[in-house]
Amino acid sequence: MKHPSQSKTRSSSHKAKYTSLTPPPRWRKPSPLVFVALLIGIAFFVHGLWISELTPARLWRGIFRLSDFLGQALPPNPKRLGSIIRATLETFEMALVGTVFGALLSLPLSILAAKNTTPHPWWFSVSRSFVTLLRVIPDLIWGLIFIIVVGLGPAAGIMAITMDVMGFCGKFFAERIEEIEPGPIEALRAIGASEVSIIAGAIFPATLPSFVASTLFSLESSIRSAVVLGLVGAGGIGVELSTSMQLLRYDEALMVIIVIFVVVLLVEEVSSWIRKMII
Amino acid sequence: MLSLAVHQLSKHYLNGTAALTDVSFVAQPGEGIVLLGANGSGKSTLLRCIVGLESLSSGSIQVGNAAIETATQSQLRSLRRQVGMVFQKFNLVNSLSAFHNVLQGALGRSKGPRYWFSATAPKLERERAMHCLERVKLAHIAQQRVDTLSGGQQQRVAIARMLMQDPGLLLVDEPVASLDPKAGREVMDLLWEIVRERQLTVVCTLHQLDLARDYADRIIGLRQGQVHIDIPAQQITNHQLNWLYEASQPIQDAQLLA
Repeated sequence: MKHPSQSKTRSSSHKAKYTSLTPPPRWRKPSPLVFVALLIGIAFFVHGLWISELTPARLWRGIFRLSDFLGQALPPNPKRLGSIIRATLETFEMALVGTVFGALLSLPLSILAAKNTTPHPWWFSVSRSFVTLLRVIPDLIWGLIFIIVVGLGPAAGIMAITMDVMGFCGKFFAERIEEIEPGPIEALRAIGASEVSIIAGAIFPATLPSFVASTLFSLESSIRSAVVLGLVGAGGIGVELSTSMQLLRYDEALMVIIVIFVVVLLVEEVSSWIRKMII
Repeated sequence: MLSLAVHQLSKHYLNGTAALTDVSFVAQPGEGIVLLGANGSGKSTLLRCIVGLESLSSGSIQVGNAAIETATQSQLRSLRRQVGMVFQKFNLVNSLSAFHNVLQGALGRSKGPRYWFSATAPKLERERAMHCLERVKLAHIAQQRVDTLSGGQQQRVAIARMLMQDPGLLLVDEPVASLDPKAGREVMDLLWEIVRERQLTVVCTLHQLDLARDYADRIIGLRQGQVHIDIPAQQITNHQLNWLYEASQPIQDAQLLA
């Protein structure tokens, strides 16, 4: 009985107060920190624009050069189509092998790097930092490092892609494992299952669809990086492309670009089709 | 069937909450105990302590001849093999088939990758899993993913998994709280049939007082982490049962209702 009257007085007083209040200001003065950060950002932007000398006159001249290039490139020259396709397949295989290795190695890595499955906090921080290290080094630099280690050719490309995929999949797999429901794990633990059996029996079945989806994403990006890795000599179509460009055989280069385009598109189509099937 | 002895068990969480205080009781082999108590009275914590999923703050728990509080990790695992558990939310692995979930009941006694997949498990265990599913009358849906089954069916799959494990002591945590009354009765009937035919010692938490009275040999009432009632089921009065819930209701709730 007390409640209605109480709530009434409260709401009316609330209303009276509300009308006397002024709305908050539309703009707030940025804090000094934000202000300085903004200034630094603007300075970098302006300086970057200045050193690029991206002037309208240059763009205008560029259009003529582009038409020059296209004139020499068209029609694409299919004379070496056989070896181009072979090299593109090599690029695809580099990406596939590297992605499979990377995804498989990510499985144990992600178990160590997930808070709920790591055997010890120490393992957690070491494996998380390792995954971050893999990711902050760009794939091209991994490629250059492995060219020194194993020499020119697809082996270096595969190893570079493996590192890249581990950096990506290790993080995503671990985050997926951390989201898992604790119930089934607890049930298997109560049965007396070993930790390895729990991982194989409850964790992987629940996370597998998302693991496959992440792996397919990284396969798509691996194909693109495998092409670029070829430019520095790590095997595949990139070598062909850079040779054609340097010898000014633009018609051949265009053929290479078309084949790459078709293969990347095919892989993306197939992988998105697989993803739809499993989810 | 295993005996269970809980002696002066206390469990405090790091934030200072006392979940259990000085809980003692002994379950004879083959005895059916129902634990009653309001939400937060410590029932689930007690079960989790018995199977070693929570550490004890003080006191001791003896399952058969083994002591929980001093067990090493591997002793704890072999001890858990003999303690079956059935959960309120079933805790099945959703993306696997009913058959595979039942097969996982063998994971405690068998090591090695063969047991991880239903395709590679030994013939004997696969047949046993099928028998366990048949016992809960679900052999016809062995291949279905468990997340496509109804709640009552999922709980029966969980019971089959427990059968596959072949425990001597059974801990059951509100087995019918997520089910409608009819499915709940069916699950309780089935569970108790199995308990009796295997002569399992069972500790089962419940919220339904009529179910408690129908199935239990003995009723233990917990209130705020302490044992307040411990008598044979036929002797318990409605007054005692109601008191367990009413008296422990927080005061703000009572005011809101008035």
